[in-house]
Amino acid sequence: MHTSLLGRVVPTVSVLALLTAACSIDDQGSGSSDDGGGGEFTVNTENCPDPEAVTAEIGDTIKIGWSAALSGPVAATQVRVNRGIDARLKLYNESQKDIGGRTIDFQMKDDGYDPQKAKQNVAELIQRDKVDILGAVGGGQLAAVVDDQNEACVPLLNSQVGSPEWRDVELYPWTTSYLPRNDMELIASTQLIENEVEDPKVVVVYQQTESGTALRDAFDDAAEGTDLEIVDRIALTTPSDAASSARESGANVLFNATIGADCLSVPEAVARAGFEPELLIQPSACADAKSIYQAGGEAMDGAILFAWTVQGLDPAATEDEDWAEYAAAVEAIDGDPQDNYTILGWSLMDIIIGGLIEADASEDGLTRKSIIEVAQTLQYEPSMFRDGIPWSMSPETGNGINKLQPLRWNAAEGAFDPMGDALTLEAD
Amino acid sequence: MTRESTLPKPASLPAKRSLMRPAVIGIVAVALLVAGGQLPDFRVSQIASMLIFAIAISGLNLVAGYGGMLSLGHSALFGVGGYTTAILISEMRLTPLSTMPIAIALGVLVGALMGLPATRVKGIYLALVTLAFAVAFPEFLKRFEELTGGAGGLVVRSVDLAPPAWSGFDRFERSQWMYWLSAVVLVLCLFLVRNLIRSRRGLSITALRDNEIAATVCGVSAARDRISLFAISGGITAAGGSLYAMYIGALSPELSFTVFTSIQLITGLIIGGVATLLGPLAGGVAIVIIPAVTLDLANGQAYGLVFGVVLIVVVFLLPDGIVGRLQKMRVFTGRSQSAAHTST
Repeated sequence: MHTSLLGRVVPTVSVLALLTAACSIDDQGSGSSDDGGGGEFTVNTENCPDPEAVTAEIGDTIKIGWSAALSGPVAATQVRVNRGIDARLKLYNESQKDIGGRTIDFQMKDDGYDPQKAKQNVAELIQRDKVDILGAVGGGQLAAVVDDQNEACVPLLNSQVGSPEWRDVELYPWTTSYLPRNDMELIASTQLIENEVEDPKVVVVYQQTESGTALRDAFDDAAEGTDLEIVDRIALTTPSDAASSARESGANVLFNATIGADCLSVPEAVARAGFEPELLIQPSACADAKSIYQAGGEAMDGAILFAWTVQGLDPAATEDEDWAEYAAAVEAIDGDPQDNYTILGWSLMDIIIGGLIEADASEDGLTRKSIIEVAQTLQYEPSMFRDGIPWSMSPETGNGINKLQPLRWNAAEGAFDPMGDALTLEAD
Repeated sequence: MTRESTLPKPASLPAKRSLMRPAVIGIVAVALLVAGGQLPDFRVSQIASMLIFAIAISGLNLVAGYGGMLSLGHSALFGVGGYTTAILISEMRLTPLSTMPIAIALGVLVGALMGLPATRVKGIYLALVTLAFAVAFPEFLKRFEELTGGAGGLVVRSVDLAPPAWSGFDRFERSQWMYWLSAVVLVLCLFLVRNLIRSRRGLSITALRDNEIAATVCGVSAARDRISLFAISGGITAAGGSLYAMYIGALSPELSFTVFTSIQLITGLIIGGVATLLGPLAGGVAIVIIPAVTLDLANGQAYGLVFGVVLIVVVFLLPDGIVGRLQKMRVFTGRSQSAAHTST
């Protein structure tokens, strides 16, 4: 009997697989700029396995290697981010080369959002491909590689992670993150709620994932000592169940602590359930106007997003020279310039290139040591960031984005309306 | 020709041959391990992960292969080992090695619990019951957030995973340490499985698999043997999980020990060879190497398609698995295998 059972299971397993597929610091300076960044940073290279390699000048080609999900359920978003990265690199390699005439050789290895594969990818990138700079996407993936990468003394720049956990420069001096810190962003969110809503009662709908619970916890922390009352925290099973529970909670503010498809599905379910909170706040990761806000129609009307880049659907943002350069580069690789994930990818690589130019101009020239020392204190004006929001990295906070602009979606106009001035992010 | 010349060979000859074979296999295995240790560090690390999965598959092989009971819940046993080690290192500051016996003991306990339903249900129904363990385990981890880190997972710093001083490896040689440690544990596990299957208890287990009524009529206790088989399987799989935690250093309920991990283990077992001693080793190689090779061939969404096609081709061309096929070709023994060791 067991033979026939396994015999039945064999093709099932194969088909399932097919379907699954288809679908060390010494010291740091104390100086900081007005934007919360800057200062001085010196990395200790004595404990590196090959200290001389760390201070050796990089040759004609700068090798960058990333591990990211190019397959699996989260790949669709990453592919859109990658278009921005590719476009920025193409522009650099074909017409700029202002890092001492060097070419950037960029490769991305698929980890399928699997930490084990990410670990293997990073080991290969360090040891076989001998990359000068690494990148990683996702908290679990970064957790699996961050110690290996720091021990190897290879800079890992602008990881796409919102958690503050990996930004302790004493533990992880060779690592920087791109996304704004969850905790700082949510302090800004609670301030906005206090300003906009009288007697705010908040219901938090969160995904039962690493990022979802991190957002939920960060919101809890941010709400401490404020006038906010968190009336319920609802673990997302199905959007309609969560929406019904949210409606029954008696809340007048909904914080949708989700990312990905649930940035849209939860607000849609909330609208269907007849729940009309005074404020619906989404995390900054729910960034894309076209696929989330425009697609959501009336359900998204009034939803609030914190942004640091220009929005692709904002006509005013698309009139300047920076936009024209960006749009032409993205269109040249058949991308959609209005896609905000593509804008995020472009900005991410723009910041890396800006740091490399500065490192090349430093006394040491372009070395792994100078790259990370510059990256930990970089002050830069990315072309696709909103006016008044610079990249200002501080080794004290590990945060480069220190201001966020609250935007309110106007469904009738099909565009975001800014809500006052950009808010300055503060650590608790 | 004299009558004497047709007599069977002296009894001493098979005995010599039986000593020669393990000696040759041992020398070849050690030579391969030493050669593997000379590879670049990232390859050594890759082989270490193969060995770890081979241990886990070996545990599954006991239940699904020799015992004939399909388990979809072995990801939970793998996770019990992993989380036990990670919690004991990060919370109680134990050394990684000292956590292994505790991880194995918990694996035995949970394995025995998982085996309880096997006394009542069989076949696809048992598979469904064990699937419940795989589905519930990540939720259990999320529920006990204080202990397990919840959905955010647990991270063990590499400084806490450094090789012990007596090993002769320094902190930059963690891949080498994990490689040799995993190899030793795998050899011990395979030795245990081999001896178990050749023991009286092993005969009972295979008899239960092949004909339960006949076995029970002969005095075999189905409940006792099945529960103990699940318990031993749980201990072996948890040993693999413990090593996995030391290897990866970061565990997450969503990413580390899901139903997909169970499917991975079953896939490895089928490709390697169900109810074969060395099948799990071939399976470990397959589930680490095939994705790596197919990723090189087709980055992105096409990777999964290529991986699926490769799997289907392997299953169709080698229905007995890699080791099962080699055994049929008498590569290892020069003679056919006993029915108990090849029957699936």
